Amino acid sequence: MSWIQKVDKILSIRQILYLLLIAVVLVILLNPLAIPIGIAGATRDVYNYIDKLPQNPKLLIDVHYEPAGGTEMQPAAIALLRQLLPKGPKIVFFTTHSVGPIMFERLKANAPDVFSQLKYGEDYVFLGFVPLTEATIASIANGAKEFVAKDPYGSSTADMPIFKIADKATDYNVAVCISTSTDPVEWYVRQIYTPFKTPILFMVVAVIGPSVQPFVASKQAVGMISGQNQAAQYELLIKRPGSAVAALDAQSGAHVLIIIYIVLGNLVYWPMRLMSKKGRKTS
Amino acid sequence: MLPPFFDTFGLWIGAALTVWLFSFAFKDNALYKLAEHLFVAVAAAYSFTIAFDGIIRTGINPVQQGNVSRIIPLIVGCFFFAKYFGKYSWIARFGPAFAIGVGLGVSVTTAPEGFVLAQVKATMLPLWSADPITALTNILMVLIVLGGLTYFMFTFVPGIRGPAKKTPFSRLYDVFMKIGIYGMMVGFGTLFASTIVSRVAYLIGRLTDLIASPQASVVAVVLALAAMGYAYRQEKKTAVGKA
Repeated sequence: MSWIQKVDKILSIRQILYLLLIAVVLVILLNPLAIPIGIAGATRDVYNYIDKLPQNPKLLIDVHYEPAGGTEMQPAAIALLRQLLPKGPKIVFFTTHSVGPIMFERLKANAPDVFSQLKYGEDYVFLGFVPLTEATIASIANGAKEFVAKDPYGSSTADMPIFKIADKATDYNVAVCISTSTDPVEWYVRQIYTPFKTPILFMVVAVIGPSVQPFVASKQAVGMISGQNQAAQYELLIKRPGSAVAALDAQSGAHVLIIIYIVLGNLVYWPMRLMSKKGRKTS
Repeated sequence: MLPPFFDTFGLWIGAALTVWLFSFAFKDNALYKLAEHLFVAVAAAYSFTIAFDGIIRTGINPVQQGNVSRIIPLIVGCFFFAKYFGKYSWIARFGPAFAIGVGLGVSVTTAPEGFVLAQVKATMLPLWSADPITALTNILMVLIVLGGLTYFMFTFVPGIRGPAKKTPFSRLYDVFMKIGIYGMMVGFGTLFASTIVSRVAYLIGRLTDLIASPQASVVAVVLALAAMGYAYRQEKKTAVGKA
């Protein structure tokens, strides 16, 4: 066995890659490198858009993400709420994801500075998990109060002051879809933007960022925060670095390791391919 | 508010299940299976309760408050159970038919404007601009859109995919098709890179949680190593037995 074949064999052991990946991420999380983070134009656009909203903006926020995606979604959501807080926002939260209620409680627990200053029923409300998917978004756009009679805590939505000013899609300044999948993105374009022209903002995981970009490019959405990278940029823009900024060094470290693996893999692959071609010719 | 004991207990369980699920990447073992089965069971139970709660809040509560029209979806929902009654099992089809019909009706009305017209309009870009980067981006966008569309026209021009004689038009078609292929390759590359970014973020999330409960993580790792060792030994024994 030649040394190239030996290297190929070592590179093919997936357990080594996993161990290295875990080690790199752990080491960097424990010893941050403080690599400078540049602010992308797309993140600044979102920041500026939120900054220009009038006082007491009304928002509809869909918490459509699961625990795994929370690492990317939650920092962006918290940064958004922190930017909105001085404006005295009125927010209707709901979720079309079955684990959304858990994620909303986590959001509340991780942003106590925001929620302690908002009064439930007056400044914000959580409608809980609302099944039915796209039809749900259409119904909520036509009147959330009527569609969901009671919140998950048992209070009647009809008696809540927030719904006097923020009930239908036309009432909201922005509808925010925080999502780990592309389906809700399409629902928002079809049911919130197209019929009512209510501005929509997407906060999505990096993996679906490229699929959402066409809606931003066509100006059907006012902007998009995609992945941990943009979440970190957003945290820097509001001058409250949080978990996304802390995680970005580890993210970069893991990428360097993957790049090294890709380069090594190619360096080994080409000589092996030449060797196999030569072998075929001689035989 | 839960007592502090439950917080600690939750951290230990979270750390243990994370480590045990990760252990599958190295070797299948009993603790991984325990974590996997526990996850499936909890997810099923949770989904059931949350869906039931949704039915109560969006179906039963409005009916109690006088919104009688909500009885219709509730009845249609009950039709699903008809499949347990052999003779009347066909009634169960009304449920999905109703759901698909409503879903289609709701989405089809706005889809042409939202998904076709707006996207086509977004592709009509000025090819000349004072900013060279914008001009280049616009040209690339238009070319790749045309190339991508050309690639998916399978029956339009003869001689593209067969032995027929090449004409100037078919050569032009070929060029656009290649632009489409390269454009899609770049697109898929971006998607793949974004997938890695997300997966690494998931890993960072779990490891951040593990760092928050180091004792629990160390104990879970030791147990996982023991389980993997045991699985390896059993596998070796079986192999020797077969030989």
